[in-house]
Amino acid sequence: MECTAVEPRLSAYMDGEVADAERIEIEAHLTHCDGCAAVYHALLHEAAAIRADLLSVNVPSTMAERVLQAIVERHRTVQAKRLAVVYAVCVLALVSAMVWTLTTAVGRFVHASTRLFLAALHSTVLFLSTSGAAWTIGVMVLCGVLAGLSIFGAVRILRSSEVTA
Amino acid sequence: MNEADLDLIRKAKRGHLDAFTRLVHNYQNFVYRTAYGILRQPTDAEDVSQEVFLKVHQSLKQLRDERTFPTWLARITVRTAIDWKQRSSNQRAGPLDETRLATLHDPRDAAVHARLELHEALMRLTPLQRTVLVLRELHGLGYEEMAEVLGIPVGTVRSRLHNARAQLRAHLDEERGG
Repeated sequence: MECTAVEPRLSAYMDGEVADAERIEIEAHLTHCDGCAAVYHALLHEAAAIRADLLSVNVPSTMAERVLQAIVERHRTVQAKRLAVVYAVCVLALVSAMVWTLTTAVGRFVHASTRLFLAALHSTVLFLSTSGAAWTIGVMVLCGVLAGLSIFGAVRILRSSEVTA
Repeated sequence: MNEADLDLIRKAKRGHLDAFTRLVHNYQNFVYRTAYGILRQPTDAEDVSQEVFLKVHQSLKQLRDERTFPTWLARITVRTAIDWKQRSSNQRAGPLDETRLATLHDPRDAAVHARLELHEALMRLTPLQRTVLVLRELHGLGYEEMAEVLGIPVGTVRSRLHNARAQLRAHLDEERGG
């Protein structure tokens, strides 16, 4: 094997990435060629120097903290965006429902039915009022439960599910 | 990779932030040194490392085989670092500039001088050339693994590594006045 054929293969030889037959030829060449042997030793030296240089570099101590802060920050942003989308969808649905009830025959029917239902509800409340303030307390308790459920739901949305996991 | 790390990855995939935090601790030097080796800038390497872990947190559930985590992590780090390099056109002063000034005043410090020469020679390589050197010399990846990480054929890995080493030696000779 000539030097011109050996030298381009020294890199792969050093990494153990040549076939056995090729390796034997290169090793035989290196035993009698000082020039290629010098190149090979230089390659070994440079590889060790690069490794030592990279191993001497250490990550700043605040890295893990920075990563966690960034994750929490990103999670908050995502949750806020989701909440905004939920509100937007709700508003859109409400407006659509209003337009629908005012413009279509089915909507007007639903509107009339709703008014009928509310009138029935109103008469029911009047009926219950004859039995004293008990119904008022019942409604207040129900409102309290609904408010509690709403607050709980909002907190669940805003909190990081991963943090709680 | 040991069983403890595999367990951490499984837990992190299920959303355990504590497990992910420990994973960051275990692999932060892996990521930082890889990024630094490609960019040769400590502040850039730090920013890239943070970006890498955010990407890992976001896409860890997509990792099917936990045993491939180091290769997967290396791939994300390499791509993020190279993208970062392409985005930032400005070349800031290297981290060894202060050391260099000190060395000029104290030429007897051969170790510092040799490290400076190596740094300068590595800075003159392309990021892709530095990438193959980092994957080989730091992580000891085989050519097939490097091909998988970089998404290129094994033959290209072989030639790129050979060229990188040849150019590094030429630059070192120039640095030494040879």
